[in-house]
Amino acid sequence: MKGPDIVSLNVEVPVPAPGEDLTPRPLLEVSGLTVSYPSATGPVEIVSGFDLTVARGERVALVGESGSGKSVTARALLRLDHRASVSGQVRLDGTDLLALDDREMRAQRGRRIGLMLQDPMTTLNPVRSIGSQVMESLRVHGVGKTEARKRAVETLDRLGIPDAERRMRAYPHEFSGGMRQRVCLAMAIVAHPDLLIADEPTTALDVRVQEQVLSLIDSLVTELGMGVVLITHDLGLVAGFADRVAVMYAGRGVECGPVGELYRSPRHPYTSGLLASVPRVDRDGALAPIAGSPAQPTSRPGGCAFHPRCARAEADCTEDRPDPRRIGTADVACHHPLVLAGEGNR
Amino acid sequence: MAPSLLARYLARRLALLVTTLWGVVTIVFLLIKAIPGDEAQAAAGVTATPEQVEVVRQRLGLDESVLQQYVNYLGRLLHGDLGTSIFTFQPVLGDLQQLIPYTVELVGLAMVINLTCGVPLGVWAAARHRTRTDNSVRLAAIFCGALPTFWLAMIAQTLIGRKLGLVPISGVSTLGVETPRRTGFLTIDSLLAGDLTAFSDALAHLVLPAAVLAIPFMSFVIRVVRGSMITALEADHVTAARAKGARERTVLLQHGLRNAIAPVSTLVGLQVGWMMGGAVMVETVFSRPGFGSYLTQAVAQQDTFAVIGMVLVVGVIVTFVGLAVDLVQLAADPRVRLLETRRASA
Repeated sequence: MKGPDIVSLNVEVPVPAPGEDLTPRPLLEVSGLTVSYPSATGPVEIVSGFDLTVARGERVALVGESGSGKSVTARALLRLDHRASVSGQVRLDGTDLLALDDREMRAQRGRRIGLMLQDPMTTLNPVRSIGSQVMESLRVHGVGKTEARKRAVETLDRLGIPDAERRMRAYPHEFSGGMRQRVCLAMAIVAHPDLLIADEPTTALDVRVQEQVLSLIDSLVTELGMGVVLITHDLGLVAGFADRVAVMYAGRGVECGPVGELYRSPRHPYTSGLLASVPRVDRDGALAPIAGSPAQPTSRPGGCAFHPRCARAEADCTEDRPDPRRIGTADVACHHPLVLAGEGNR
Repeated sequence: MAPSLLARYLARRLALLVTTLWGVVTIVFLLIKAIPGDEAQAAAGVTATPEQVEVVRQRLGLDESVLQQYVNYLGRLLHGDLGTSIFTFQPVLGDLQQLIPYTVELVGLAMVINLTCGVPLGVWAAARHRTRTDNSVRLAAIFCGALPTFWLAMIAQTLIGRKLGLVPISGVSTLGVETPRRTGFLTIDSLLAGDLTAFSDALAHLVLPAAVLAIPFMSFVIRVVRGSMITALEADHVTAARAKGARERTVLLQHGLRNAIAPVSTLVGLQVGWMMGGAVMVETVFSRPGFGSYLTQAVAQQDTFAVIGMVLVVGVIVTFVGLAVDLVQLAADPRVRLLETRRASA
């Protein structure tokens, strides 16, 4: 769905040729993404075979504990860290991003995929005016100065920066945290990317501002028809925002499905544990934390990485790494998922 | 910063500058008086009779109390009179005016070499952090910093001057090459006269000593640029810039070097003063006129006014460089401007 453009921009809407398969191609298709980093003791795999699809206009939340590989995945999709070796497949609108050369990849960043980072205090360069930083997202892709300025002002205005024209000359320290995060969002979307990756965009903000920023992202999805990957560890935030949720544990996707079903009937024991450990006002009793601590990338257990902490683990979990399979509406990587009565374990 | 605030800032800085210079003059005056030995005897020469020494003592005002001599000297200073050399019987200011251009030329070119080689090497090493390039540059920097100037000067004279015969190894110009003196700077005067032969001759005499003077200083520039660049490049705004699709060169200069200017400019400001000191050695080895020969002679002769005049001139240059450094930081960092604005309006 595509609403009115927030700024005048020729968004090319692909027109299917006659006879072409009309089932919509997903905007982002990630399959078997594996990311490893060099270390003193050899390469360490942070992400091992991660799959994800995002459609246009879809809000997907990527959820996991610290160290599960969420942020590394985000950076790998943009190929931002040259020390990381990335393999697998990342298709954006059919283009294999991992096959592009550096120059071609640069043209994708910002223009096709926007990235928003966690901390607005450090994401903005303290010695440059916010105007120049928002304009930079356009200038690096060859947009002229006047045009870039016009669009930067329009975008800041659209994102609720009061007196945007004058504030272009202001510096980050003159803004509050919430306003800075709006500027960061402006930097990420001013070039109208097809996909926005927001890496914990609200973690550093207070609750009221969190909501404002999320609802801005939400309205942009509708207006621009962007796909969004929201990376977070805040399950409460996800419930109100996402269409679909992908849960990550130890560098792998353990469960991915529509938000409602996933919350109502989690299939993977880890998802279920994660949900049980969220404090809720409508439920009495003590919280049920997941036993043990997350697997370290350097010493991940064989088989299913979650088995040492899993109450449902059996012998096969220690040997055989489960691949995702479809159960109901979700893709679940588990040998012994939680199954509803009458569903059967295929 | 508003113009009125800038004016107040400059006024305050100039007041501070005058105070600094007064302190420098006083300390140097007292130090000279504390050196054992009779200044009148030194001026009159070892063969002078006691009567002749007394005549000299009266003529130079050395028969008065130390406090009176100090007051007299300060009074003359205010009228631009740096006193008379007790050795050459020439006004110190006149002597210095002839010599300043040689040393400033030497230090100026050395600083240009220092920065044009040191800054790019530091940036390069930081961009290739933890690679073989980085390690080689670091090693080279440590090596450069460990070379004694006098040894380096002699090696350069032998290898580049004698063996290869590329450039002259002593003096400031070839006998017979005349340049009409206007500013006193040989390079500038020859250009003003439109005499390219004289210009290249002056430059050829200047380049080797300047390079020798620059090399140990380069070591610090490389290390400080590299260190502050590495810190700057770890910042989130650098990731954000890459995610916008900026070229690596833009990232390095606009988000790395620009943020690393503060420590680098502070170092360069200090280095101007150190280089003035280092020039003494280089000028001696390369038989160049300048501060070096004058100062060595003045100290040996216990020539009070010559030494104080010299130190004062160096002091003026160094304090003005310090002011220039602060203005650079004021221009480069809006947070410094904020701080100074608050101080100025307090």
